[in-house]
Amino acid sequence: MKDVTFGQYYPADSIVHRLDPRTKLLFTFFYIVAIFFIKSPLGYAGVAVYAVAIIFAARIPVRTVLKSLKAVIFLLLFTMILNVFFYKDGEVLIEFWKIKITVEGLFFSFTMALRLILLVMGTSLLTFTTTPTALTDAIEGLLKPLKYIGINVHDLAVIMSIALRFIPSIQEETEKIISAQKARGAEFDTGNIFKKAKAMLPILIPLFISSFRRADELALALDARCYNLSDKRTKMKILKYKKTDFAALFYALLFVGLIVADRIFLVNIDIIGLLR
Amino acid sequence: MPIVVKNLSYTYMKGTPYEKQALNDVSLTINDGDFLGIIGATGSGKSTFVRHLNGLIKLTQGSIIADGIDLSAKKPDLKLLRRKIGMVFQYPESQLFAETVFKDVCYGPKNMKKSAEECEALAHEAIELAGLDFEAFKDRSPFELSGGEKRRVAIAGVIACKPEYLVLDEPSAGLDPKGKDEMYNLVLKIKASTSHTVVIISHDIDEIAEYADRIAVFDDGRIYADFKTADIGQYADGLKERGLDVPVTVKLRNALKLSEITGVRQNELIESILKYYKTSK
Amino acid sequence: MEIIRLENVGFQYKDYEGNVIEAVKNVSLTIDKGQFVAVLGRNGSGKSTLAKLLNALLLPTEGVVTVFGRDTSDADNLFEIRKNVGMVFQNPDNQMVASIVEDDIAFGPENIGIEREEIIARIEWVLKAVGMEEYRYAAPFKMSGGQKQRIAVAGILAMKPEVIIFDESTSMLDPEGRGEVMDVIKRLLKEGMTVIFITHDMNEAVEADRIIVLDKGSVVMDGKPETIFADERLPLYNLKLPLVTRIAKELKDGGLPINGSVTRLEALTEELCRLL
Repeated sequence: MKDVTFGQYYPADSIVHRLDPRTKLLFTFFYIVAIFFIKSPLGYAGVAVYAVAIIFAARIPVRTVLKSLKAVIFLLLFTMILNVFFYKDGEVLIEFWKIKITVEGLFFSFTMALRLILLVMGTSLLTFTTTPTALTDAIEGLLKPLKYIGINVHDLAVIMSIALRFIPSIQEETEKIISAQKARGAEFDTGNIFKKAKAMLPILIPLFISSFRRADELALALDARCYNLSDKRTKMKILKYKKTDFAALFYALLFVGLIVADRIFLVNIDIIGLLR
Repeated sequence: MPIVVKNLSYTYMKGTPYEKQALNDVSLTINDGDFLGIIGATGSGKSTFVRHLNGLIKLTQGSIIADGIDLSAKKPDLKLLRRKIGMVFQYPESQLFAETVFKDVCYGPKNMKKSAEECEALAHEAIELAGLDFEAFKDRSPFELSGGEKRRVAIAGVIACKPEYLVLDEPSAGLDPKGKDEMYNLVLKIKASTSHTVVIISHDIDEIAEYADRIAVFDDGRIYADFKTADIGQYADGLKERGLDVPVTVKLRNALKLSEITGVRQNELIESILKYYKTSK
Repeated sequence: MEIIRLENVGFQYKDYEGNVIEAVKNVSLTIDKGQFVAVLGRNGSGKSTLAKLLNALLLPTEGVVTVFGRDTSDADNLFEIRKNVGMVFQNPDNQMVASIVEDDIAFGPENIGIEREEIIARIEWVLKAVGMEEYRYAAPFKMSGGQKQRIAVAGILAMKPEVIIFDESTSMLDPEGRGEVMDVIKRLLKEGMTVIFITHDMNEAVEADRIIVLDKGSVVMDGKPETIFADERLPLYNLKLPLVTRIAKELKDGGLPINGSVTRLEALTEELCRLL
């Protein structure tokens, strides 16, 4: 799993990296909406060009972006196969036993896969160009209105920040425990599923214990640093939209508009008909 | 048979922006009966090196023949390798998991497919060797023990498989001064009985100089020097240049500038000074 | 000037089997402003419990702890006490809340309501104080233990406390990291900080103005380092003389007419050069 890049931050100095994290979050939201509205091949082409353009603007190697797809390759194959087998309508290409593969089925599963690829590429772009901390700030910033209905957004943000902060520590701890048990002759990839699950206990139990200890110590550290002792809390970081942010949001909206317009107004080109 | 490492190199996270070369052309032979101390700054490659020895990190460049097992082979017998080379990690008490001390110590032997009787005998021997009373401790939960006792149980869990080689990473970390002494005495006891070859990683040069017979110094992924502990005096400047400490005994000896005064271990040095004083008077 | 006072302080708790554990027993002592106090004792002697009683992370079950004249048991005093008595913990990994250095340092000042501009100024100042100016935007996860602990000190310093307690803060560090933290402490002492330093490294305790030895929850020794090191009872509490002192003492016992309680290598060398 080491060379899967999904969810990692890719440090670079680019216009995309410099955008306000809230912009990028909203941008990604609009992008996802757009994907669900695509209908025509023109729409797919449009979204693909759009995604590739942002990748270039973000100065991230295409190879790195493609690697992020590795994480979902199984999901991808699974949806494709499922769609090929269960799509019943249309011209039959191959038929055996109870299974029927149709031209429309192939086409449909292909477009589904394309949609998934575009989705992963776009969302991983968000994490490639935004640090987890910035993302937390963005979520806190965008959710701020929730405090009027009694939700403590700050606590939520602190929890998220701590969670992000501890992911690498716990990963390291897990690797250490796995190594230690392997050194005692443990094998984690043999036997049936029950055996495998049982073999995980010598990893999970120490991991739980150490995580609880961590949580305990962290709670003390938070108390020692006056967390939640006073309600006159201040904030060092204030997010500010710049001109480029408004421009980026304008393009995002324009883009969604075009995709929706494409879906509503443009006549769908009958690709299957053309192929025939 | 020795462990022979030749031209070992290793790079973490190759092909990513976080790529880091941890080992760079390291060659070292660990002989039967060695008490080898490995020193070096954090990140100098010590841990990466020892993790290669029992196949926890897959060999990518160079060769390792550990007690006759060739790790560059397509499918080296890792099980056998790990039975021969025991490894005690830093803060090993964090790997305890079973509900009783006995079960935890049996984990290794059980993985090595030993019978129930053999497991019991091995666990009994290991717990006693680790300095704990078998009957008093076997049914207790490892989690209710004191820090020092937990560490002993964890070490018992490693030596239960009777490894011929024992690698320990900072075994005395976090213990009080007496606990540290006891830990090293335990290591000497294990060396005298089951594991005749011992490798210790430590940041405490005074400890290493006191107990190890041979010292390998890692610096930025390479081995800077590999020498008998008695010869450490010659390397004092080199150690300092690499930001490493020099044993207090060696500092004292070098400051006195008297060729008659010798010894790296505390007792040797003290005796030598006393002898010199008496003869010169 | 006295800033911390303990009067007949005890702390008891029940372990999971219901046995009453007396972690601290009948401790009375005072600590003056600007003192560098080392607290020694074997594993489990009550050092950490004592430390946590000093900034109201734990409340005494017997007796009274007063900090700047304020009783720690009074909940209204918590804010002032914790703001003024900072604490650096043992595991550098378990006291950081954010994934970026400046965010982590800002956490304490934000909690006590310091203005934004002031926080930004303080970040610069504290990073300089711990010698980590160039790490302002770095991720603590990638740092060495010594660097992480210095960031933790910076996070405490940013609240401008009067006292900093180091709870075995050097025990997980390599010699380089220990040296770095000790250098920071020496600098703080020069500026009038009061430092309470819990350790079992005798070579570090040598630097203190005063050493308190705890055993089974009680104070068994309290005095200047020279007095403590001349005390024959030290081994009873699982402690050992600093290596230099040990060598000096053995030479003296072997018949050399030298001062057997020197703590510094230079002093021992001088003594020996005079003789040999």
